[in-house]
Amino acid sequence: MEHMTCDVLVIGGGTAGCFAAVSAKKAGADVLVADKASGGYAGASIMASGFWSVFNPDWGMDYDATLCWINKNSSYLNNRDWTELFLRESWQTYLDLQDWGVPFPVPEKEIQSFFQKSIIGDDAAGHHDDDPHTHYGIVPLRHRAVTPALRNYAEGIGVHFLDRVMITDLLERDGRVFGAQGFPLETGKSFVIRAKATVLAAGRNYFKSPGMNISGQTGDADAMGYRAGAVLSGKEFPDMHMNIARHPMWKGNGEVYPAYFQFEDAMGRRLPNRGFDLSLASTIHAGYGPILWDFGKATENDLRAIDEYLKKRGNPKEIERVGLDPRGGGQYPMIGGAAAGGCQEHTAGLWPFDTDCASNLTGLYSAGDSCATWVWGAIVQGPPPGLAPAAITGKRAGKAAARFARASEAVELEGSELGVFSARAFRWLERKSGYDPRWVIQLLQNYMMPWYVLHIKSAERLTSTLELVRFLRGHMIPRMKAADPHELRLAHEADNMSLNAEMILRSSRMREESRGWHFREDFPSERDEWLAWVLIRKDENGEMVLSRAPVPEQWRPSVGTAYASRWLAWEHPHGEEEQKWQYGL
Amino acid sequence: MAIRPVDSERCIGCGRCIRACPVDVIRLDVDTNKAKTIYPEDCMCCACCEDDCPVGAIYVSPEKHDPLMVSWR
Ligand SMILES: Cc1cc2nc3c(=O)[nH]c(=O)nc-3n(C[C@H](O)[C@H](O)[C@H](O)COP(=O)(O)OP(=O)(O)OC[C@H]3O[C@@H](n4cnc5c(N)ncnc54)[C@H](O)[C@@H]3O)c2cc1C
Ligand code: SF4
Ligand code: SF4
Repeated sequence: MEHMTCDVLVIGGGTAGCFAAVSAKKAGADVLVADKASGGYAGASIMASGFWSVFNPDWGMDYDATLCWINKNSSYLNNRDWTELFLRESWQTYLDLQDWGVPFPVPEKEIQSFFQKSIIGDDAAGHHDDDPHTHYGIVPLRHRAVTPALRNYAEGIGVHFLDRVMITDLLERDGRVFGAQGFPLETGKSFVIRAKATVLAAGRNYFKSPGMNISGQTGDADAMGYRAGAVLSGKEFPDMHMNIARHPMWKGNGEVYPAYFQFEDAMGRRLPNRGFDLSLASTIHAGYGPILWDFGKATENDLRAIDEYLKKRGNPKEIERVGLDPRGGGQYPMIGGAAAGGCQEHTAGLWPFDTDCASNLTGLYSAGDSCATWVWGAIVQGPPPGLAPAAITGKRAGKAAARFARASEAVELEGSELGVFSARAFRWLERKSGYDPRWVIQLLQNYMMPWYVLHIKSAERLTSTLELVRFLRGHMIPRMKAADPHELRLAHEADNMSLNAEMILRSSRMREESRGWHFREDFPSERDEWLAWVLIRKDENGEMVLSRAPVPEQWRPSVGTAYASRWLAWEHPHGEEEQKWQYGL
Repeated sequence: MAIRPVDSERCIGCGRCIRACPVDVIRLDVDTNKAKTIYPEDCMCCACCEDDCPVGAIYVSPEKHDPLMVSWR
């Protein structure tokens, strides 16, 4: 058994974790970052190859117009405090990246023209597009360049990284969190890290879906937060990322989509909203699959635009890997669930009780995808940008955690506590035989990933799936067998993903309406009484309880005005017209 | 499928692929000081290991085990 102590423990070394570590360190704390992979080389952060979003009035962006647009695009479920923090603080996070040595593929001067030409107004091919990015700026990124540089910088100023250490649970007593427990993947030895303050920055939950390179994100943060007694939110709003079926892990998709979105159903109809919404799932559900990305319809202008994107940002090796040949005029089948199980960026996670990302547990903060800031609300049109908000929450959480650590005493472990924590962490290793964690994960995928559970929902299907997940949690999870520490990590992941599944199903069933990317076949329209967030927590008896927190009065749209003026009705999937063909209703 | 066995002739044991793998597929064989795929069944085909290998000792095939089954054809 190894004991370690620090002022601030950061769990997860992605964008949020690195920003948290740096800001805690700069505030004078002694900081440890533990990551189940290698800090800076994992999580959504290492796969995010698109853009860093920024709001900068010097680039001609208007604060009120952008805020208004985000409110509408959020279907008014955004936490406006966080939306405004994004508007005020995102530019500084970009300057931080520059200061800390992050390389960018396009020089500063070119960024503006790149984004003005291609993203604002007309794109390179001359399409006018009403892309969500019109309202804020986006800085192109070099693939796998951001978090490795952040880690490098963090280490340079004295942050310590513990790589390949799977954190299993928080140390918690009477509502005070004082560190965490885990084990290194090589030795499987018990690690106990006592910290005055803890920042949970361990990303999101997916179900190891065969896409998007997200197999490492298994909702560990939300699960360990829940077990320790934290309040969570946002589980009913799914991620809608799609990709090509041949190689759903393709991370270079962002290099081609912006130039050419031509997704069609079997009837040859173009999908609306560039596919970043329910349209893939609903088209399949309505009986009009498959969905094809059709390069046969690309004009010379389109092809030139694709070439330009690829030249600027493309990774030729990746294109070759995928076998994509835009000029060959092929049709590529698409899958909609490339990110199955994920919730929208910054929607699901621990509920931040203030703008310092404090949870309801003393000494516990959350950041990045683990923090439910609801900065983009219900999302009508996506994709929502996650990196800059991860940096903003990371900075705030890290600084607050350092402040808290300075003012508090270290907490000692008491009597039998350690034994209890350890027994939980290693229970699957000690069994002689049992279910293979990989098989349990596969079962869970089969329950959760079909579009008719996760995307096109109904009370009956949610209830039946919940029954299956409850059985899996009660029967299979306790009987898993891990042969070694690698499999022990998988067993914890299976446990955590199944707990996340339960939260997703229960929240989805509770929200009896459709809004943004949450769609209920049995309640296909928005309902004003659902201008509210679903909160999740564990009660005294260990049962999951859900409650409703209304959106504050001053943040609601005026319900007296017409539907179309309150929402982005022209692109809104829950308007009557759209429903007719999209959902076959 | 997915990650293929590491080319041990080329591997110089630098450990970059191990650092790059988010899901612990590769380990360093302490006896030979070469990278070895220990849990290839957990590979998610991200190719980060291949991208980071300085000597081209790794090849990741885009197909994971069987072709992905899609609902409509
Ligand atoms: C494929 C893809 C592309 C994207 N593209 C963009 C984009 O172009 N622009 C944009 O703004 N956003 C994008 N996003 C969203 C964005 O990447 C995320 O919102 C952001 O990276 C979240 O950062 P994070 O630090 O909160 O989490 P992550 O980057 O996921 O980091 C979590 C870290 O925690 C570690 N961890 C997890 N569990 C444990 C545990 N139990 N113990 C120890 N460590 C643990 C993980 O290994 C990982 O290193 C994309 C997301 C994906 C998946
Ligand atoms: S392709 Fe990705 S998941 Fe597979 S071994 Fe390489 S780094 Fe690991
Ligand atoms: S990165 Fe390449 S050379 Fe380095 S250990 Fe891995 S396989 Fe060997």
